Amino acid sequence: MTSYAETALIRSLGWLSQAQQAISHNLANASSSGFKRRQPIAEVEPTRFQSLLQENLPTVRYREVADWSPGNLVPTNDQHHVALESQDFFRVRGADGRTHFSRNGEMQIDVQGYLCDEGGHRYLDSAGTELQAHTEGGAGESVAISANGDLSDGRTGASLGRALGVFRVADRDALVPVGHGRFVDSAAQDVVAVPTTSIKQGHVEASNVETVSELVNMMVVQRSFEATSSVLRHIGQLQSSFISAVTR
Amino acid sequence: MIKSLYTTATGMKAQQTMVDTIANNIANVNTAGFKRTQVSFEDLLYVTLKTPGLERDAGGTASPIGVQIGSGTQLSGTSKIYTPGVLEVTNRPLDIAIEGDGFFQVLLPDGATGYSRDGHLQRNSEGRLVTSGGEVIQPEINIPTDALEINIDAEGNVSGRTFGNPDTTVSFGQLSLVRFVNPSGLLSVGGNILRQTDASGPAATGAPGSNGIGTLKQGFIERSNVEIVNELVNLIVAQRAYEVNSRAIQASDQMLQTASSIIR
Repeated sequence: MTSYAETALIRSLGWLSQAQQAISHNLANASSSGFKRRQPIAEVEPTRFQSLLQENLPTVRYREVADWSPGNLVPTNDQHHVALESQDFFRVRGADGRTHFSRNGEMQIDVQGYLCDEGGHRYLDSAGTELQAHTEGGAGESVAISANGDLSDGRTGASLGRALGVFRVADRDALVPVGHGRFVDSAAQDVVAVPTTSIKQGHVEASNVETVSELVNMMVVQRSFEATSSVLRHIGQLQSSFISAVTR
Repeated sequence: MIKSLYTTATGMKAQQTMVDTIANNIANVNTAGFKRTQVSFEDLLYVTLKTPGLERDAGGTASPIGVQIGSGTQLSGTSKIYTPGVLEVTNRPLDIAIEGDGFFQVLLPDGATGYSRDGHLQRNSEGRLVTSGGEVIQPEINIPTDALEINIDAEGNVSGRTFGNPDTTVSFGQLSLVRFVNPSGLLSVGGNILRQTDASGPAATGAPGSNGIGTLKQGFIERSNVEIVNELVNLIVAQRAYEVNSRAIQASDQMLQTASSIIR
């Protein structure tokens, strides 16, 4: 039979190992542009372990949220790189027709001249249509993107009549990461295109992972893990000495 | 924690790729027409343990956040950055730099067309214009053996006087250039040669100067667009990130050790 103390401590070890997993994930993505670090949080499990003498005995449960703080804007001088200075998102649509949110502005040009990300998901304008920067065959290879998203020919300055859309969601914590820097909205919120002046061409938003603070978090997790497991071990010793004392 | 070991290993592998790419860029700092490669990374798939909004508390309110565990990073692509390199004066008549986005066409040994920005041209034994690697420039330009001088203007017209006819300038032909919708999608095959792919789109041919395809400059060579200082800074960043990831592996390992020491 496991006691309440043991259950609570084992849950705590589970929490710590999941936190270590999140820190590892953050450190692995220290160079992924547009990446938002994952923040582990400890919550009280609402379902109580058991009622002993009508007391609620809670255990810990693991939660994770994205840390939406902005990453550094790194100049790359590449005309297809854009960074967002505001807290909004780009939208991209894959070949399967599903739209995702993304803050990764490392854009590419596909064969049809559409602006797309590395996975071939095309960037959308504010009306939700896919954004063609160049025509097929190569006319107008250079593109200028202004701070409000308007696309124009980089050589002549003539407007292309299209603009990169920037979108805002009310509750960003409902966005679920699906990898490749993309998010899906799990709560099906209303998505509104917002006027913006915060697009910076020739820049890329770096990952917002700060390796120093992640290393500090890792030390805390590691030491807590050692402490928790040593308490667990002592409880085991306490029980065995108690059993041997009673059955002697 | 076993999972976190693999997660950090993806991070170390990513940084290794970064160092490999930087090494290639630095090695090509003096290669004419070389364009630097940039690697980009993205986060890997998430394992969703609890979907946000699925769980409800006693009052019926949906939980605002769920649990998704990420599993590291992966290489999302390497792309060539087509910013212009510095034009260097050589005063050699067969050094031609392209000002703008364009590529020369060359005939590859397998009969296919390759593309290059390396304008350090030569004449082969038959008098044709070839690259340093010996691939013949397309369309073929034949320079007579008794040519006294070679002039190449911005539109690619190759002309000059010959010993047999020293008083008038005759045309030897015209160079053409190609461009692509997505030059980053071209495949590098070494020897400063690129090949067309489905991602780059088809080549659009044109005379130099037409449709913004770029003009030619005789007597210049386009240097590599690698900037050593930037590459070295990137190298430091990659090396530190590698170290930090290896620290995370050590920490996960020690936690596993602690866990196994619970039972004795």
